[in-house]
Amino acid sequence: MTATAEQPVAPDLAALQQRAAARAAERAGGRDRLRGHIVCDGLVRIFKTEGVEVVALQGLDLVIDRGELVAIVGASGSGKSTLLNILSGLDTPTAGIARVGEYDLLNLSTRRRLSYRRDMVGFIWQQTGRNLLPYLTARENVELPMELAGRGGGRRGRRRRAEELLELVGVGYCADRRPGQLSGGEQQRCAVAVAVANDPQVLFADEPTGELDEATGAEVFGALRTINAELGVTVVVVTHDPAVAGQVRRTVAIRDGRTASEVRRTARVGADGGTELVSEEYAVLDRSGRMQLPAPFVEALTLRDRVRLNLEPDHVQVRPGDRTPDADGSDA
Amino acid sequence: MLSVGAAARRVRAFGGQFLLLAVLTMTATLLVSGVPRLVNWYAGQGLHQFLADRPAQERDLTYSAAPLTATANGTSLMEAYRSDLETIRAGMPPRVRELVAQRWFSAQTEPSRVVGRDLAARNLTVDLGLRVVPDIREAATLVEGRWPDRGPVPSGKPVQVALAAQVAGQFNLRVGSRLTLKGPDTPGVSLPPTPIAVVGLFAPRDGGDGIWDALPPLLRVVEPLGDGQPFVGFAVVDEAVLDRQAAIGWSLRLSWRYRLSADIDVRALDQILAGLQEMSRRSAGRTFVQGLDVPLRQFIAGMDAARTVLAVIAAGTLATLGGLVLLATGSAVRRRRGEFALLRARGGGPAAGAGRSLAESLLVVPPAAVLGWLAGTLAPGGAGDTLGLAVALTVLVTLALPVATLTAPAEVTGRRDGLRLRPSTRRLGVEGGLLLLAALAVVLLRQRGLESGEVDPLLVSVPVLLAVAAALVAIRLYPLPLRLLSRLAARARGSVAFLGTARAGRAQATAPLVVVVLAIATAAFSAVVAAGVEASRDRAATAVVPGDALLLGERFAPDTRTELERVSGVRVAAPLAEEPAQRLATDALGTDARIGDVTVLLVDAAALDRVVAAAGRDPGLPRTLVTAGPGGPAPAVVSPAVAADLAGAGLAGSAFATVQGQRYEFRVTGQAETFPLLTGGGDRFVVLPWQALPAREYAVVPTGFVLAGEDLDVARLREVGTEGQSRFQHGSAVSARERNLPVEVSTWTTVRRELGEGGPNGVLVFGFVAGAVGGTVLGLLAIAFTVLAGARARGQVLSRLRTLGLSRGQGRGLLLIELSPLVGAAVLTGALVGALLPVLLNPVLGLATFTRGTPVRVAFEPALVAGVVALGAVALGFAVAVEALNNRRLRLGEALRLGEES
Repeated sequence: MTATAEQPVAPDLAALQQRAAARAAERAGGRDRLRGHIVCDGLVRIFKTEGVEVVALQGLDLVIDRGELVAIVGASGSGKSTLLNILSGLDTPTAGIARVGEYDLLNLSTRRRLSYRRDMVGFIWQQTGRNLLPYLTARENVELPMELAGRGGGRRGRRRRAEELLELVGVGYCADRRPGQLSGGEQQRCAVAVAVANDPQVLFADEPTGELDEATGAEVFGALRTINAELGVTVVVVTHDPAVAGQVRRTVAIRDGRTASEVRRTARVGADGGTELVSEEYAVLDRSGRMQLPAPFVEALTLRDRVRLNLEPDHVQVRPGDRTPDADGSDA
Repeated sequence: MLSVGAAARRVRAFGGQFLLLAVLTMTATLLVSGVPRLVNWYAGQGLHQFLADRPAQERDLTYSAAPLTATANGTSLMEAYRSDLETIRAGMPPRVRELVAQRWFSAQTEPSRVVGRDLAARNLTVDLGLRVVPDIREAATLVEGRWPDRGPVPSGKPVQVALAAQVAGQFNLRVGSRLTLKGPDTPGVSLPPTPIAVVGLFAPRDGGDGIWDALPPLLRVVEPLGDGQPFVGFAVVDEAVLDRQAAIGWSLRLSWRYRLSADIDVRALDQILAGLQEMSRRSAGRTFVQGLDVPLRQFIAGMDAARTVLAVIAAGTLATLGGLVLLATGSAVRRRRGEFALLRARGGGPAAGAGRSLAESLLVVPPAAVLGWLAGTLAPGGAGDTLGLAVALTVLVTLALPVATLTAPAEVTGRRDGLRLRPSTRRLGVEGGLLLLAALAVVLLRQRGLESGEVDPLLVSVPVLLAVAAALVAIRLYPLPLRLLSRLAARARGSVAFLGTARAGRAQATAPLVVVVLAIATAAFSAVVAAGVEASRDRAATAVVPGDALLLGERFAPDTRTELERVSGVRVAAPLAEEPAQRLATDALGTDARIGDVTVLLVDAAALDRVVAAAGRDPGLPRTLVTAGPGGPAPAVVSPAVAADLAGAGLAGSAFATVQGQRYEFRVTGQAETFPLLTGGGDRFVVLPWQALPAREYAVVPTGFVLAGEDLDVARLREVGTEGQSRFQHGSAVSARERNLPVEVSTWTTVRRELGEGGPNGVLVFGFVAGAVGGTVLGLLAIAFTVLAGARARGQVLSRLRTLGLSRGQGRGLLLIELSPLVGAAVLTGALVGALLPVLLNPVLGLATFTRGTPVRVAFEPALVAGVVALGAVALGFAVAVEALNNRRLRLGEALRLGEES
């Protein structure tokens, strides 16, 4: 599809990615185990209210590898929050496959679900107030998941780890403050520390920078990247923020409950010897061969109802259905 | 994080919620601990008053031994028997024993004929008994002479006796009088007469002292029962005298009398009654006489009825408190839903939130419960056995928060706006089941009645069930007219009415409304029953005194009426003549009609009607009596039983009733179950209009008058009545020996006051006041909850509408329109249930105990409507105030996305 070369936004992005992959490989026990950390296949979620059915996910496919930092973008109502709810174990899909590590999210017993939340995943929500308990200090908030999970190491051990994590995300100086005494950015960075308190393999963040200004958002995202690189945690961020989408290697777009397209940024050594990021956008083909055309493509050729497909040796042609095949050719 | 410190921190963080929970818990345990004490205290006061109003002799327990003849072995019988005073007491059941305040032993001979010069001088026939009263020297003072010598009577000397001064005066005896006492008439035995010398006269230090209450009395002479019968009196002698008399064969009567204190613990009444029964069964050869059990049973019956009413009120109040606790916990859990979701997401187990809630509850609820309980113990009166209830309540309230946390949906997924618009089938099923259950409970209760003396769980649950059922119906029904109204309002000008009715018609607050209805129903029940009892007491008093005062005597001179009307303040007097136990006749000659005895009441109905009008009472006089005039058989009102008998004998058109020897013809023109002035019981009476009777030479004279007037001087009325009575006695052809006939004057006010005094009335009034006030206060609190439950949604709408140009005034109007149906429906439903409850429960409540048997009619009270309207207005004002306060806190109008955190 399209490929554009761009100046690296964060010069060390490629390095960070490599480090994250290395850490993830260490945790998983080998590079060959990196594939398919999160797998969604034909995921369907239907809400029923008073006899009205709303299909929030209609056969979504997604594979995320260990140590990846992935952004999921999509318009309001596209189903990205539903996806995140399912992946967090807060919601159960109606049909399909949803697997995170060795956890099958369709059949989680209460005990499994608990251990999933305690050992496998961490969450960050958009509302800063939802991430932290208002009556606990930042450090106590970080200690809370460890206590709930009954982590060993004793009080002192938990305290030390909490302080380390806060330092890692850059808010060590606020350890003894309550959320009310923190700025929005500080709160979200604390939330990041809370989310990884139990050393999860996956971190889900739902619009973590949604309520923040650009600069603060960048700080929070920096914290996420640090966590990804230093701890090898797979990070999935749902966001609207184009700035965020530009800071990750892989961006997955969801439309109408399906994965529509993907942007991958790869680092390569340019002609001048410096690293540059190459951003390529792909449409996603599902197992049964379905794919969505990007909206601008559809609009540009006013494609409607039917299209013609031509199989060429190295590509597939898509042409408007109401024209003769030879009148106007366009590669899609 | 289950440490105490952390829990305490959370309690502080959510201080308001926990304060509310603590206050509710405290109120509940305060009520559970304090109310039974207050009830016991009021009941104790009532019992004390009740017993104090009755003669003290009722509290006497008397053992007496059958006449006993001693063997002559020289031992002192008196001493031996006197010591039994303690033995008997020790053998009493403990509850009775500890009440014994005073005790007396006495021994006496049977009164036998006494003769002497001083008696003969007055031509008196006297029987005299000799009595030993051990403590008389402390209880009486000598007026003249000395006390009889102690020790054995020297042979040949007369027996020394002391007499009460009044008795001596009546018998014409003085110190130094010599008498001869004949032996009692014992068949086959001839006992020698005993010479007697009066050596002293005494007067009681305190005539009311229980020592003088032994029968026959020592201080008075017993008047002869008929012609040729003797006067009977008693003289005091030394113990040795009776020992000697017994030795020579006189039979003695011994009595051990115990007076119980009037300070009886209400809680021990049952045990005391059981004790008395046991004493009657095991009197060990002695005769046991007591009169205490009847009034005590009477009091217990009243108390039981009061307790029943109180139980209904208490159940309503406690259920309301329980509902408020549920609302409080529900609102706390709603507010902290995000926190619990976070806990779960962060790896908290399913019970993590509940565990933390439990820790918080344990920190707050039990201490509050203990505080409430302790505060309750400050109330006067003995403790009730409600500790178990308090503990159960505390446990329930403590568990309420964790359970609510556990059952609350952790995370709401999907759309919330579509919820609750239509109730689910399951919900409707549950509600229908509840309605059915309430109806069944009412039917069952009415069919089964009550077990007296216990708090019936069915009775207690019926009002709560009924209120809840009514609330559910109201919740389903009240939006319907609103939706219709909103359709109409949509066409009208202005948007406020439409918006208000449209939103009110889709209101979602159900649970709080149930609690409001419960609270208001409790208040209304208290008020309606109180009003019903008050009105019935008014009627009961009016039935006794259908005017302002009633004068009753033997017979009055006819001109007494004019004399009475001359007394200042009296406006009208109506004469009446009552003759109980008369035979009806079929003709003027007096041929017996062969139907049962009747009470005949002659009343000047026209005058009585004026009296009734002047006094402003409504005893329901039959108009046929009032308008009756002379000529033909007098139109009479008779009781249904008599009417049936007369009709059966074919005498309904003409029968004859006798009053003071005069026979009057009457015909039955009306029937009445009861008639004022005839409250002495009995369902057989004939009432004749005096003004319609033919004039006779020997006219019937009045036996009483009903008066109307202001500021009546009771003493003056009695005086005039007594004069009228003596004029009748002297004015007739044959003047009898003047008898000391009392004239009874009772005023409506005193009769009415007596009806509302003493016995269980204190408890009842307390219950009504507490129920009405408590119900109202809790109702307002529940309304605050109702308002707050929907405040967020309303605030959001108002906030959005503000941005669309809604003015501040229109906002207030919208609020008022939205809240009035909710508050109105709640208050109205509560009042309806409260008014309906007494009607449904009246047969089992036994309220007639409080009106001396006059059945309590719970009727529609116009005052109730006014009260409901006032309460509704107050509630609405309160609701608007709560909402306004809440809106100010939410900074309404300043933030656009109010309360939309997600």
